[in-house]
Amino acid sequence: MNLSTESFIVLPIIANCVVLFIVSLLLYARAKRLKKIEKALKRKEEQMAIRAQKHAESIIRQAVAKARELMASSKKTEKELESQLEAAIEDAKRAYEKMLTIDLAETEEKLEREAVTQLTNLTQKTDSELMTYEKQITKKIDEDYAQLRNEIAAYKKERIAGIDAELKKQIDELAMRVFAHALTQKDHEELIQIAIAKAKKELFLS
Amino acid sequence: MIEITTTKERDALIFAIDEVKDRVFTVGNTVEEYVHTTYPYFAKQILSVIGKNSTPHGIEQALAAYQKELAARQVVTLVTAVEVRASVLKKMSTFLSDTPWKHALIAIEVDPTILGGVQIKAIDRFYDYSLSTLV
Repeated sequence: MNLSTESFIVLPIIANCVVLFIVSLLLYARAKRLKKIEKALKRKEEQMAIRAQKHAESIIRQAVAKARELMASSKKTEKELESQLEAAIEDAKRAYEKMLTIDLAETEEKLEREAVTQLTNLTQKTDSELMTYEKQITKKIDEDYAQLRNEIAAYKKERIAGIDAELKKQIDELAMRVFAHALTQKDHEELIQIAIAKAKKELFLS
Repeated sequence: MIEITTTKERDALIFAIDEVKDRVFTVGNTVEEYVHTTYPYFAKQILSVIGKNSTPHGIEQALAAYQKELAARQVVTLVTAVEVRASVLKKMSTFLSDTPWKHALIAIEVDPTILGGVQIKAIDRFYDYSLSTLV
């Protein structure tokens, strides 16, 4: 009984140790294989890098060669284009000069015609306006002259009336002065007394 | 005692009073004699003003007051064409006695341009009764 009990306790432990050992072996094998794979990958990577570098170098070489080729051909094209351009410019210049000469002559003629027309119109218009102004001025002068003549006549009449009135006043005054001188002292005193009596009556007795 | 009716008389009286005032302190008791001798025309007038004042100071004050009263009198100016005689002047002053200007003095102005008659100027009033109004 006791043996079987111990067996029941030891056997699982042993079994567990065996399993653990197996698992450890498996893990070790796996790790070894992983390391191998890693080495292989690293080697593959190095090879790829070398190959890419070689490929890049070959591309650069080809590009440089192409560039040299293109540069050589472009120099040639540039010269051709330059000469073509110069020729075209010369042609355009000649055509423009020709066109300009024709246009100038036409423009001159046109301007001359227009100037003559405008001058003729202006002269006609000016003549007409001058005549109108002349008529207006003559009319205005006539009116002003008539008005002035009337004003002078009125002024003359007024002045003559004024002079007449002044003359009459002076004659009256002179007559009164002569009269006053002709009065005796007694006459004057009587006049004063009459005036005083009149004043008294009018001012204080009315 | 004469009645002062014209500015001419008034001015002469004021002048006479001035003279008397100047003499009051030197002639002393002989003022009355001095007035009678020097200004017989105004003697009664001046002596009546002096009245019972016997001191030089009293006499001077009475005369000064009268001078002041004379100077303040209203004046009515009568403008005539010629100089008038005293008798006519008297009649003119009679004219004033019946008017509100009875205490006024007459000032005579001669202006030949009025030709004849009278113009009356009293303070701010003017009345023309001259012949110039007929012109």
